[in-house]
Amino acid sequence: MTKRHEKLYNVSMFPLYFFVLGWLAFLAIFLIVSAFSILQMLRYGLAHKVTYMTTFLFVLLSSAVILGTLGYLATVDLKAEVDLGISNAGLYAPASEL
Amino acid sequence: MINLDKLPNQLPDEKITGVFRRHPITIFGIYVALMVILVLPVAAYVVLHLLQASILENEGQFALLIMGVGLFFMFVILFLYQHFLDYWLDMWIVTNRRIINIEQRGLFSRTTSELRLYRVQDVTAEVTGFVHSMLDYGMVYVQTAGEKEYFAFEDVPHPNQIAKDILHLAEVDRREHLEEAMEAMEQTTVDKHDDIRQKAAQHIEP
Repeated sequence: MTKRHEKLYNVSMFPLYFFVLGWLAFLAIFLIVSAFSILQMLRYGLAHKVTYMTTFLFVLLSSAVILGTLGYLATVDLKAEVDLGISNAGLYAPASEL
Repeated sequence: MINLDKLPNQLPDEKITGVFRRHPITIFGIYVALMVILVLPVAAYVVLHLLQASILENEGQFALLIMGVGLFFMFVILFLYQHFLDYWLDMWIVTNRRIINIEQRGLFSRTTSELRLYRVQDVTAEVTGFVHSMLDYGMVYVQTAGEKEYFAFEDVPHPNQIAKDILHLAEVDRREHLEEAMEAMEQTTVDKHDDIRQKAAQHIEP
């Protein structure tokens, strides 16, 4: 396989940190919206145990999900290439490999 | 935070007689969504395992799956919290002097209005439909004297009892604060006369 062929063949391979950056962007959106929601709940909610309990539960569950995901990502090589499975081998691979 | 011991613009000798919210059945969608989020990822994992999908063996693809599932859970939890917030922040507070209506629409829109009990003229309870009748929840409309506007308690439990209580409280308040009520009614009449005078003046002017 020539270098040109190899480059085109691997077009569906992306390093994992690309996706992690996207995930972090979504995480930032989530944190901003969550902060506003908690602020509204604590500012305008009735001083009642349900207000505190639901807010505590929300923070607890969100933290568990975020820390769990981050904990898993810490064990993974972020420079590893991820094959999305959108193979273009039929288009660019040498005929001998098809 | 709203403290029932210190209501906004609290009147002297004001006591809370009830705090009402929509019936919990109206947030049934939340419970269903909660069941779905508990079951869906487990079901998806079982299906992938049964199909022996390569995504579970490939480290990179599995990391993508974990990130996707993490995002799914985060935003579902956020959706549930906001849905609950919308339900929990909507409330009707009835005191022995007034009715306070607090309505939350979405995250940033909020309306607070109040009505003095001596102005209440007519209270209507409405229960329509099979589920509403079985669980005894519905609407309560509070109409004030001389105005077309009304307060509506939406989907509150035991609407007939609430209507009865409000009428009773209004009657007691009218008796106890007769002078204040008369002054307010006179003021309303003066305002109305001013309004009529202004309209007449506009009509006369070319």
